[in-house]
Amino acid sequence: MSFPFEALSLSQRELGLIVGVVLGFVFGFVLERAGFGRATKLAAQFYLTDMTVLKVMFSAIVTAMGGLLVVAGLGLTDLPAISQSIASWTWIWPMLIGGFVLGAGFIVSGYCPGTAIVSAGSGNVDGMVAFAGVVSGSFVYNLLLEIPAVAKFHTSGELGPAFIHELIGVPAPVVGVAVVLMAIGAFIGSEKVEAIVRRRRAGEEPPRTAYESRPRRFAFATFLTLAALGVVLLALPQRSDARDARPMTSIPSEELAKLLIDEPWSLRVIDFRPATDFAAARIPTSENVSAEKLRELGLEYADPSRPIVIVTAGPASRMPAGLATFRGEVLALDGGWAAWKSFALDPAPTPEPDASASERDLYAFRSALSASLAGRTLEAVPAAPARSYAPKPRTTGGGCNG
Amino acid sequence: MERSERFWNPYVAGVMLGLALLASFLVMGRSLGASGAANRLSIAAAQVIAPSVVDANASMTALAHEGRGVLDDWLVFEVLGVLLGGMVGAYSAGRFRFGVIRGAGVGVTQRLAFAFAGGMLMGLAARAARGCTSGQALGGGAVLSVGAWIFMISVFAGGYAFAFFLRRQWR
Repeated sequence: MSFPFEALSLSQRELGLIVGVVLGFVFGFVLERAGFGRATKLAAQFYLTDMTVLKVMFSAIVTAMGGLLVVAGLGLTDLPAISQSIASWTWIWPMLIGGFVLGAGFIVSGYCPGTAIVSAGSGNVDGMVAFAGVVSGSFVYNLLLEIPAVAKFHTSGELGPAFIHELIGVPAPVVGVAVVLMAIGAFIGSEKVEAIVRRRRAGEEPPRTAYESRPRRFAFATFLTLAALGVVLLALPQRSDARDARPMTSIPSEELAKLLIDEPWSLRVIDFRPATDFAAARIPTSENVSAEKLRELGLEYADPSRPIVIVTAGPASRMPAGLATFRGEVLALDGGWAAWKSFALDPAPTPEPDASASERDLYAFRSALSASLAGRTLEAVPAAPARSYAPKPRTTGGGCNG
Repeated sequence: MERSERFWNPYVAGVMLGLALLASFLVMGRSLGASGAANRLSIAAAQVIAPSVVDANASMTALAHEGRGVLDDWLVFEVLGVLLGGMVGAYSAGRFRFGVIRGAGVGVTQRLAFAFAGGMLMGLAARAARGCTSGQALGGGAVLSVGAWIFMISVFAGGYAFAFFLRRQWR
């Protein structure tokens, strides 16, 4: 595995920032040359007179996807790890509704956030104003996130790192080929639509886009070649899938709580929940890190004898990619934050009069825990004889290397 | 066709864009983006104007207190490059000029009001969707992220749904 160059985000960070400016420059330059610095050209996508937006977007996706699949197929990068480092997690509802609202904002302003920057760079005041709007909108959303209902919406429908090929259980190149074929269909469709609209408007105004058919054929040939290449890739062994299946041991809330009291130095707890949820309540000693920021912790240099416990809102589906470089053990909190909350913060159910000694011990432990963490009054264990809580000697290492 | 209206073939531009995106994937292990930088810019502005607001807001402090300045981030540098690239692209094509791009149906004031309002909607939406058309749709779409494709389809749905009501603006 050679790509990506992790050092560009860590020890060689300054160089990485220069690379950022250079890549951004190419991005902005090409967008400008495609005509994306002009609101009228972008908006035309939604009136079917000029489908440039769709053509450019799908060509770019197909190229980057095809290239990445080839590089991964050659074994030069680990596809699941790099995909997780590139894409955010999936939260169905905020992404569905966010997409719809962004589309509405697109047609109102004439830009998307990236093209607003290109437009501003081209000297267009409307682009500058649109970008100022994006900045204000981000600010307002951060304020709204303090409202519990909005915070709940923000994390609704969480799928974690979810990829289409994994969801339907086929190798990535199969989906890749399907995307290429779909893109070719979309290209042919949009050329037809443009021709129809142009014919209908003939006489009204001169055609906006008149492309030679030669480069178009050339482009189609390229995409078809990519699709064929994808089929060839299918023959290559899917070497990266084995790494991805690295198992995560789970740790129950009770064991975590006892470890945090007995040997708080033996574990590192990383909480992936949104900052607002973390600010409201958290596991003692835990640190709040977003999945995107994980790589910046430099976990490959972290002490491998100190296991990392990961905390997500619900049960953790799979290990976040940034942890793949950590050499020690990774534990997932069983049932996630929801399970911890009901174990350690919510009042423990009072034991039945005929409860066993261990059930009473657990109750005493839980009520002491919720008294100290959630500020509840400490309840005495009912039905004497009252016993003080004495932790049993642990017989297993609890995934903690002893 | 006027020189300032001459653009690259969309397929060629798309492939070039895809190669830039691929380079970003392979070298940096991340996507090109835009809206993340806007969010950081908003926090930086708030730190100057109303620092108490930043301190009271968990999402803002999470980015503001990382041990570096809130603007000392890869995405901010990348967006600086996008701005420069747009500037050089427009200048070298002979279409760099200060002005307002608008359809024939609206005046300058209304156009700018709409640009701001639409921008604001996109700022809200990009925070909810964890990215915009650059980082989420292009970057996430190319690595076949489920959320990215949900987002992308939704963007087009939203655009077409509201296009009818705004047709006078773009006529």
